[in-house]
Amino acid sequence: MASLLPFRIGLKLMGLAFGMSKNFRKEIFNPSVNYAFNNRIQIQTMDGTASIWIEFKDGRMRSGAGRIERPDLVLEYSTKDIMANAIKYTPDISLDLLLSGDLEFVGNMATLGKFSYLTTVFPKKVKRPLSLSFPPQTRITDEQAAMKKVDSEVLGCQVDAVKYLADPYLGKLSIADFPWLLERKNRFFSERAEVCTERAKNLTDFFVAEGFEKRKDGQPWDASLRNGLALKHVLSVKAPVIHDGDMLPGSTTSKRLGVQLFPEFGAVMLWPELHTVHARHLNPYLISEEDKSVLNDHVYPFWIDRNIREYTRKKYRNPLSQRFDDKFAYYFMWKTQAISHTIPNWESLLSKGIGGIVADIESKEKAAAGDGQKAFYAGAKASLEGVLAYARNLHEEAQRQVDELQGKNDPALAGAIEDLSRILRVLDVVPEHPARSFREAITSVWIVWVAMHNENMNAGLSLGRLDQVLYPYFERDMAAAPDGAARDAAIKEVIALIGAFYLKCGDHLPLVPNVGNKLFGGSSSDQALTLGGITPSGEDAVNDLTYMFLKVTEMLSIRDPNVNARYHVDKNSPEYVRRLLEVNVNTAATPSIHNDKVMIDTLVSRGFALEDARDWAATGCVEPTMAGRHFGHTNCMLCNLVAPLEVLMNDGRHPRFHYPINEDLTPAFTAANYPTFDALLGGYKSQLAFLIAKSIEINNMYGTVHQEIKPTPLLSSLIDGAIEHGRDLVHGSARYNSSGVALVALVDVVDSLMALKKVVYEWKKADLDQFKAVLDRDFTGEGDKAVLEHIKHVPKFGSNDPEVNALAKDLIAFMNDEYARTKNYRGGNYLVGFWSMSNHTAFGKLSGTMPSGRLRGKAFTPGITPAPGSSDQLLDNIKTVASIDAKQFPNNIAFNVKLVPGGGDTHEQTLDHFYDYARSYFDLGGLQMQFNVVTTAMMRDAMLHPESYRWLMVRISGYNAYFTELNKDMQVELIERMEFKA
Amino acid sequence: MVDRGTPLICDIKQNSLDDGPGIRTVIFFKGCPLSCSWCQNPEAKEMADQLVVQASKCIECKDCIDCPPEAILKGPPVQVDRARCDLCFRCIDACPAGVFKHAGTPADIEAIVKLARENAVFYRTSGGGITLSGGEPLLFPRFVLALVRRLRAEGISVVMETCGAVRLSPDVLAILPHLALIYYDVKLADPAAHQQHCGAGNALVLENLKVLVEGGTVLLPDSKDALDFKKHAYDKPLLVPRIPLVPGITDVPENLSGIASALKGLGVKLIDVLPYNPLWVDKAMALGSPAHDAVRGWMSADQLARAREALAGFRFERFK
Repeated sequence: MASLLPFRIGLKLMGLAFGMSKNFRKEIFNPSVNYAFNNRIQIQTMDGTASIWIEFKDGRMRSGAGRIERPDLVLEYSTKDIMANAIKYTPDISLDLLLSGDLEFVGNMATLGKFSYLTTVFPKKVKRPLSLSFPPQTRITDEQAAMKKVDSEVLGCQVDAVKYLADPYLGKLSIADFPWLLERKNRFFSERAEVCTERAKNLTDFFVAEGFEKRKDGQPWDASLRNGLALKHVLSVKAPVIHDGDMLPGSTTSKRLGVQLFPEFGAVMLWPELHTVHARHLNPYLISEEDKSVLNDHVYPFWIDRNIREYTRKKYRNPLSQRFDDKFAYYFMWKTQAISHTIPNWESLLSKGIGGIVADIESKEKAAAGDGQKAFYAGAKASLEGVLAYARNLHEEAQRQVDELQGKNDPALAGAIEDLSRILRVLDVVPEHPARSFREAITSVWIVWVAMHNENMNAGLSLGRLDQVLYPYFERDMAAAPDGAARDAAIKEVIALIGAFYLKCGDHLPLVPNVGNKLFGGSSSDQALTLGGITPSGEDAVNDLTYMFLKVTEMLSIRDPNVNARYHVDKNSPEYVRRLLEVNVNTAATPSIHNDKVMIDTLVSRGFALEDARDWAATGCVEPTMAGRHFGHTNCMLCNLVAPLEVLMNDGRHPRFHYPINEDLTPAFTAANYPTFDALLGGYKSQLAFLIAKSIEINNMYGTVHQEIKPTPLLSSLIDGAIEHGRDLVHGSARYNSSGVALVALVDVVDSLMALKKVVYEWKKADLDQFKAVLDRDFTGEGDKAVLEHIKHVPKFGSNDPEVNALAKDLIAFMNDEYARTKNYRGGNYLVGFWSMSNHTAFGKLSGTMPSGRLRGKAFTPGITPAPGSSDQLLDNIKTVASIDAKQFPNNIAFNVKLVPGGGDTHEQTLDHFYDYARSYFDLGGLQMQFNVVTTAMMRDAMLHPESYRWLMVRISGYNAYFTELNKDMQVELIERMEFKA
Repeated sequence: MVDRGTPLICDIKQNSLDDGPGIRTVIFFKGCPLSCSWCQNPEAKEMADQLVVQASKCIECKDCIDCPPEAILKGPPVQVDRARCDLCFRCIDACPAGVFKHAGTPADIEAIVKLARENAVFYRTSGGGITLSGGEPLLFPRFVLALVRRLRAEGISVVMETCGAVRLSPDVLAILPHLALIYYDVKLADPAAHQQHCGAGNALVLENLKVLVEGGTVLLPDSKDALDFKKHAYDKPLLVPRIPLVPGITDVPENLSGIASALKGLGVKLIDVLPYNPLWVDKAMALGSPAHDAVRGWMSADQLARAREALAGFRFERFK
């Protein structure tokens, strides 16, 4: 048994260092910014046999053996040995211990982050040089096209609602026709992500100056007004950035590729990593010394108790449902990070301009009923004034650049001056006034998009149906073109603008702390864009712009925006879906394709009006939002459906939690207690109902805290209902107010329950006690292999076995019913979906060996995709998924199919085969489908030679990622997916 | 012709893209009048059931060694003394790992029709359907006739792959009008070589082909596009001769030119060519008949080019 002496000596030395060095002391006590890290920390073993306390008070650190009164933070290690080495642990190791259940904490997670950070200061643990695994490239060839066979068909006739394109497929165009885009695309892949503290600092400055809990004059704040004024400040002082040659002015952050920070949400998660993030293996971020200091000394201390997670913990006294959330193994609640999985009303912005929206607010304001409404309107107006201030600053910046270039008197600069002048002319009009042309419209959208990403976290905020929204402006350009040649030129310019917009959408990244890298990773900000489908009146909506967006999607093959295509089997042409599949084949991973007809029926069945349902668009990954009129936080939570099974099998405990989940509700998992399969299924359902109830409880708590501290006035100005009702969206003022749930690992649960049903109850190859013992041994015991072989013979989800399908349908209906029991805090319904982002890997990593035969720590199956080996017949997989009534999927599904072209097939044959599978799936009523068209061999090669595959895009479950940015578990999961040949 | 009752089925492959146009569900009948040395489906040669032994799946639990005739030899890996095995098949139930299995299970018309109904939407979208293959489906004319009548009533298109070495009995002739397309194997032009490698002469094969073509029972398509059943409908079955390329046996120039001249004489324009695939060797091993002399590699680009040259003048369905 290790001695705790070295640990105690280490702490003493640490205490001495704070005493002796002013510089170090500043870390815990800094009167100049009124900061003191005053905390009592208790460190002990879980059985309480060994304990050490630490106290930080006004710049002093003391420590000793034993216990301390009223600790602010308790750290519990599973064994004394593990605790004895705690002083040596990097935050990374501590994180692993936290995830494995060898370390538990009770208290403020941000305080833990700061404490963890302090351990990296003494001594500096990072000596590694900056990792440069991807050196900047200067090549101008399209590397991706060179490595992949990209072929494009030509369509000689106009289909759908196309009016102007002679070849809707635009088959003759390639990125080589847009040298500017190619240059930008290559540059894009050589950018290194850099932490941007601009927004975090300015927001904090505002609250420090103006007060957070109360106004600086001591009067109470209205949270809507407070946040509106704060955003106005953030946008007014935001640096107006126009990069060399930009077609669209403005940038999400102050960096070329910036990591945007939201201290009111999860930005404190980066605290322990400030000294290490630049050198971490996966997704390193550059960060300047100055920015580290801004965060450590100014931003984080202010938000330590004021971020959503900790505010909630304090308000509700660390409820069990929140402690479940802290562990990442039971469910993952998104409200601690974001609430913005929704879509703004662009039509309103473009037809009225910001000025028009302000006028609407002012006319409503006159009739405002009370202080709450008045404050809401004032806050909304302030946020819009912020947008206009930012646009004015961009105008000034463009003018400054023009003046500077003109001063050089160099004829070679004429082109650059003209580009800037064009930006100036556009900014004379938008976003304040209604847009008049495509360029004005897309610039207006972009500037407001930037502003929105300075209000709400860049996670899931989605673009909606831009091919519809922008079409009237495109048509004006077409009408203004005097002849065919002018029209062709205008079409090319619109394509270039769309390309510029795509690249701009990738100018920022959501903060991924190392826990995110370990568990999730690779996700961008999931800005979903939706194309095609039908119009609100039911007509074919696939227009010229739809095909132009598809062309850009194909030419750029980049992760953002996350392109979703609606395909209406009755209204859209077969040529359209063939083109969708061609783009999917050529990009390997996008777009994902939705069955429009079935989705609309599903939405109508859930109470959405028909014309609203017809205007749905994907949010984040795949989730439907009635664009511009629906505040549906469509990814409010991801739940691990395997966790209730594990809790059931472990008598009310979860192996990753050192405290019980619900022991009092859970009979011991023995053959005697579960004599029949029905009894076992009932036990699982009770556990499931418990998880669902807890997930709703904590989501509603977080939601209530959002109402208290994080109303969202700009978003409220852009979604129908809030202005009308004079209340922020977080108070339920939108026309639709649902919450969207993602249920993860359904397939693993179904396969596991089937295995128990057959092997234990029907074939009686092992009784429940024996079976449990086999799982506890991870199938390594004598004779366990035989049990594993029996399991292999159990029919799986994906084999289209009627018994399995019936079980899946029963569980899915139960989940829908349980979520229907309770309204959310905005008065809306919980809507259930089966997609998983990358949480099937995260939850899998934190879960034990399952009756399905899946081993401890292995990834679950993504979305609702059958497990590899469920059937060697793709038709069985397709028929299984399509057999479930899509009305049970109001928050959509992700069905991944890894399908690769047969060796000798021509491009045409490949598309024929993809078409045959996709079209049949949709005819059978399948809701959503996405193809990964990357061979297993290529992914293996990319693991070995990541430097050659930076562009390699893969579909995870609802979103795309660059393969080389994924953690190894995720890469292996992709490789192990069943590969079918087309 | 003797009716052989209910045939055995070796396998059903639901989504083949290589056995006729579109997505096709392939039914592999067990039993064949020929016995080609390179047969891709060796489990389909014998009409009677056989024991398939996939030794690589053995987990060494020894649950199988209570074999009544003591035919199972202790491994690892497990081995079966085929001379002792009396095909009692008890080992199948004894083994938890699925090492043993039947080479065939009794065919069930209703089950096939049910599967076809389930898959109908795939067939409709792709211009596909059911393909009868084997082995030789025409060894079971009564059964096949009943099956194709049912499928036709369901509106399902049926393709047949045949070796041609069966008598054109009234039952066989009654089947043909229900077929959309026939792949008709022509392997070797020389009767003696055919006898040597396929276990029977080729006279019946060539005679039947002539009768079907010249008697107007079938149509000869002249291009691949003619096989697109989404676009075209016919009142008679199409026939496409199929030539398997086996290195050193069927791909030799004399053989290919011999076949070519016979086919051209009948007016054939479109043929299908199947390059050699060595994956059958493992399957033969699992049946206890190791193929020691088999060619184990894939064909080289040179070999394929030479074959293409020898078959110049034809259009190919897939051969590129």
